[in-house]
Amino acid sequence: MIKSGRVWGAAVALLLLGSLLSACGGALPAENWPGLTVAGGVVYAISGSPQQVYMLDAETGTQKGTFMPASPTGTFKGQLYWSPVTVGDETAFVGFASPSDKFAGLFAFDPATGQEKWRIPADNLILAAPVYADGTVYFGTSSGRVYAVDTAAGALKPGWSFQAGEAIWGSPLVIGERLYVPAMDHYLYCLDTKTGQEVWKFKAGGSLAAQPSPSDGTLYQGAFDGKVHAVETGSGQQASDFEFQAQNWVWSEVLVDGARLYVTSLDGKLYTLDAATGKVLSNAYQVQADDYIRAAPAKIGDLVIIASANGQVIALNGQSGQVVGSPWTDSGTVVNGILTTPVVSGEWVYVILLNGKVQAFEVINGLLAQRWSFPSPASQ
Amino acid sequence: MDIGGIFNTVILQPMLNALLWLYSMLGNQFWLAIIVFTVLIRGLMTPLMLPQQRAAKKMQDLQPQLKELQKKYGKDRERMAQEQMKLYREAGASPFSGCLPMLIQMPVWIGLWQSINQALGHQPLQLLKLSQNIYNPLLAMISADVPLNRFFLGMDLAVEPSVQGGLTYLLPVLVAFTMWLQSKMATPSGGDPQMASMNQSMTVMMPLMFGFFSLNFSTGLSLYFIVSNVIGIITQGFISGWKGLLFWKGMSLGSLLGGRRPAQAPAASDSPSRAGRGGTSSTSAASDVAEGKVGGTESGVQRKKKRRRKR
Repeated sequence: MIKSGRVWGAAVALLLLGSLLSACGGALPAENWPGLTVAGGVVYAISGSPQQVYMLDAETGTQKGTFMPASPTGTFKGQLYWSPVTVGDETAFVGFASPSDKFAGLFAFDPATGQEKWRIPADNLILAAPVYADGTVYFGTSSGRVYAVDTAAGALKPGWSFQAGEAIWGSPLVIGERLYVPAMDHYLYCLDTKTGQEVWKFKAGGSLAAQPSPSDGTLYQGAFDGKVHAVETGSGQQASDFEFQAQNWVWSEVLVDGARLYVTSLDGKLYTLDAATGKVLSNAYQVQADDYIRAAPAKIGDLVIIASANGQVIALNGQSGQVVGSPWTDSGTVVNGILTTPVVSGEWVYVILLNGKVQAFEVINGLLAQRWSFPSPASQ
Repeated sequence: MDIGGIFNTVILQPMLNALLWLYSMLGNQFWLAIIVFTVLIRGLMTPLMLPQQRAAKKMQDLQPQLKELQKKYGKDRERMAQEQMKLYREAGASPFSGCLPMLIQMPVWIGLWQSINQALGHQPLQLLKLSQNIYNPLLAMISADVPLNRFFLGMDLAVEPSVQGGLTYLLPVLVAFTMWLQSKMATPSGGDPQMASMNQSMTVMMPLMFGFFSLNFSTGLSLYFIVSNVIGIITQGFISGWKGLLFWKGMSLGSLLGGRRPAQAPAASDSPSRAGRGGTSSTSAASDVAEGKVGGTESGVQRKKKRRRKR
């Protein structure tokens, strides 16, 4: 009896050990931050459990519909991956993947009804928002492949192909007949939109995971080398007189505001730069010591809005860099942090937390006033 | 600072940065960094592990005396337990010596697992965590290498065998096998049947469990387990001899799974000096056979040795 008890004790101890290991380990945590898009008076948020696309009224937060691709096996298993939604040509586009089901692709759906229009299988996860221009939607995958889809036909453009050396986590940018693709292999690629052929490529000192920001023939591109690179759109050459170095990676898009650039970095700072030289114009705003900023800044009127990984939404005066009013915080835990760039639409600012909760603010008398949240507290 | 913060500061960050530094120094080969890192970690942990391994050897050396105690006090369990404890105390041995080295390594395993996951991060949130855990002096050097080269012999070290399939399924098998072999070499055979039975359960269950976990861990961690186990086997071999490596001698499926060996079970159960009431068999029994100590009597191998000595 005693022996049996000890054996069972050992078994239970091992199971506990196993549980501990599983809790600490198990499958690799495969996660991304939720996408948030506002277009045509509709907020498209990746939210819920399991995640799906929620379409909300931008002024009231009322749910207008949802979108979830039909699973070939009935239900999806494991972690789901969504890109942010892109809207164009009265169609919404979103990347979706369920690695457990070996299912990945770009989906087009009707924003009014949430009905799927077509789907294009992809070779890997689509983490960055697709970009739409002139009847074509472009997107990159985690394998580094770039796709071009004819939206009218719902089919890949014949003969169009491009393969980068590493994953694509930043949205491409279309200017005229050029497609600019940032990649994790440290290159910013310039492609011909008609053929996908490479026109030039620019090498940074680190991975590129954000969409480049254009301004007067220059692309501003943040990189994991902590720099913002100013690259000439025509030649792919770096502007020789531009120099900026943060103290950690620049993962976010650069906000261009005339002759000023606003840059956030994982060092927890918001920098205001001279667009011509990269010189820091005023003291950088620093969030709390254990906090950092992944999300890009957003501008509404004179306010620059930043959102931190610990869940703070902070409004600063764009000129002085001073905080305007009290920052809004969502209890400060990492789970409820904000890694998605706030979206500005009219006089409204929208943020989405890591847990998929959407917060809407309206700018009233130069201050942020919280208007609604989704899911609403009553429905939780 | 909460427990997670302390763990990050004391274990995860130093390990992660050391691993990343090695990666940079070793030609951006993460598999090589894992192997060298494992050797270093084992080296650093030697002062902690050696006493346990020596204690395991002591336990093995005590087996004849334990058998004597069995003969004397086999029916009086309370007295038997007292005498056993006295014997252990006097000899400075610990009956838990076989599993203690593993338990000591637990925080290191968890730290290494997290280090590998973060370093090989192939999803955005993993890389975000990485950026917050790299020491400033290393940041510029490592940033230029991100994302790290995570491939080895066609395997993605960041992805688990259950997802990759193919030859990566060999890794969990190797993890379980090397861990079992190491445990078997470190686990004393015979003696107190209850303790032997428990040791035996650990010897079989722990490797099986780790083999199962390895299916769902990144292959990089499997690589660490295998290298670490091989080092453990070598170290244990120097301390307690290499006989345990001859695991196939006298092994049967029944003994491996924890049952009695059919041919020898009656003898074992009949003998009070052996695992009589509980039947230790399994890997301990296999180990006994390999060491020439089957049952309470001398095995053929042992008798041959004695004859040779007499000559």
